[in-house]
Amino acid sequence: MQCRDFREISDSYLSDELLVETNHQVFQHMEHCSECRADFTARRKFREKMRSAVLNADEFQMSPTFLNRLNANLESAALSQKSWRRMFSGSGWLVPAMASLLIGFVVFGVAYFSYPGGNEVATTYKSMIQGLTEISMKAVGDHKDCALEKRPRWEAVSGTDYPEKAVFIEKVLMPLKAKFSDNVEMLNAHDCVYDGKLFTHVVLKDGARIVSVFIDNSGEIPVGESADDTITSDSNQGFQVASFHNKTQAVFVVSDLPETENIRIARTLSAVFSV
Amino acid sequence: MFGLKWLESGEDKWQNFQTEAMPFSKDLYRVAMWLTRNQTEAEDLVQETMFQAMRSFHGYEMGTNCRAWLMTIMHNMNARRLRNLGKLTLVADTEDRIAETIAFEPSIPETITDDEVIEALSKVPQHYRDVLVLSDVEDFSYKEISTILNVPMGTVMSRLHRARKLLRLRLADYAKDFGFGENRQAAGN
Repeated sequence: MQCRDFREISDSYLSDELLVETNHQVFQHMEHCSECRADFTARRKFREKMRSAVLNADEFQMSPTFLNRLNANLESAALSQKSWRRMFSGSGWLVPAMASLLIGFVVFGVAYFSYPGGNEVATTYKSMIQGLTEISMKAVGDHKDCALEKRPRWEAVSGTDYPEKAVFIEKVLMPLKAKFSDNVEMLNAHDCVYDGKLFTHVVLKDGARIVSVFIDNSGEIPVGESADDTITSDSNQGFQVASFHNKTQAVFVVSDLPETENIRIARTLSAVFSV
Repeated sequence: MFGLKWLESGEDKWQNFQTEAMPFSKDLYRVAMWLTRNQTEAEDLVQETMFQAMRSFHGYEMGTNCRAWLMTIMHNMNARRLRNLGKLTLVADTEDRIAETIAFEPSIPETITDDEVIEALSKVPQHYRDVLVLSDVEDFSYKEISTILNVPMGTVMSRLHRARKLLRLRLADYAKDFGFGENRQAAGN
């Protein structure tokens, strides 16, 4: 990749809008070209500045008075609408419509359950979602018990050697530093068991924030044959959990950041983990 | 689960709407301020949007992207508002031509205040600013912006590219005022 090409697409890289392969090329180019790295840092800093300028400016803050008024007006409008019980009484069209709907459901149900692949696909998808949800909850528990509770310990040992340090510096720390901020630090990486679940746990810090990246190598989630670049997001006990998987691993990002920020971290890592 | 939201009572509906949609009212207001540049008009636009959203809430699937859904409604409401006021402009030719003919991108000045950033952004023509705000401030994806503005994704990308160039030009003006922007002449200003 040439510097000119890089500058054409660096804003799209910053917005997570490039293909996984192109992300990798951009990342490689940045590693070797200090000018483009500086240009990228300037773009990232300016975008952060523009964002914070708008988010913090007084003129863009909704007034509490208006918010209260809006809330009251909407609530009053919602509650004045007819309840479903009243909708049934005196509506001549509703009974035939309900009957047609019921017949439709019965026909659809028969067709669906008699289709040989339908149940199997539904079961696999359902077990995948259940698996993700259960492991997400364990990841949040581990984040609280390990990353947050033991934070002083991780901060004290930060910088010392730990297993597979180099791998996680390359796969987790560097992409996040490049995308977000040079201030992101990796406090520790270790194997960790929570509620019977084994994770590889990478503890990251950016200022006062602690972010956990959990890598599940167990293959317990039936993720299917091909890698999927979908990011799933959920919240649990006040924490955001964004997850994705490749062919062999499921990765969970847990933090108390806003949902969009947490997803951006997961998306950045998914580009690296998919390669 | 099966989309039978019309069976809900008013209380349930309000509860769901309050949980799903109300948290985004502040985001809507911020974007409404960019669309109207006037507090009263922005408040009216947000209120109309929220009422419309509540009326259409049966069509919204819980747990999907409510923020983008609300933003789409607001842009439609704004287009209607501008049509009624006779203010709907499709293209600002001069700025289009300027954006197309900028042969280089001025570097981003390092010393610039928040007020200058907002002022520079407010000088970017509306149809470029819309995509820039949605992408770089509000963090919507290109695909989401394409849906919100009802334009093809290629248009979103080209407008963003031009918007960023125009914004850099505006910012270079501030840098020049401080005596460290050497690129303005090259831009032909």
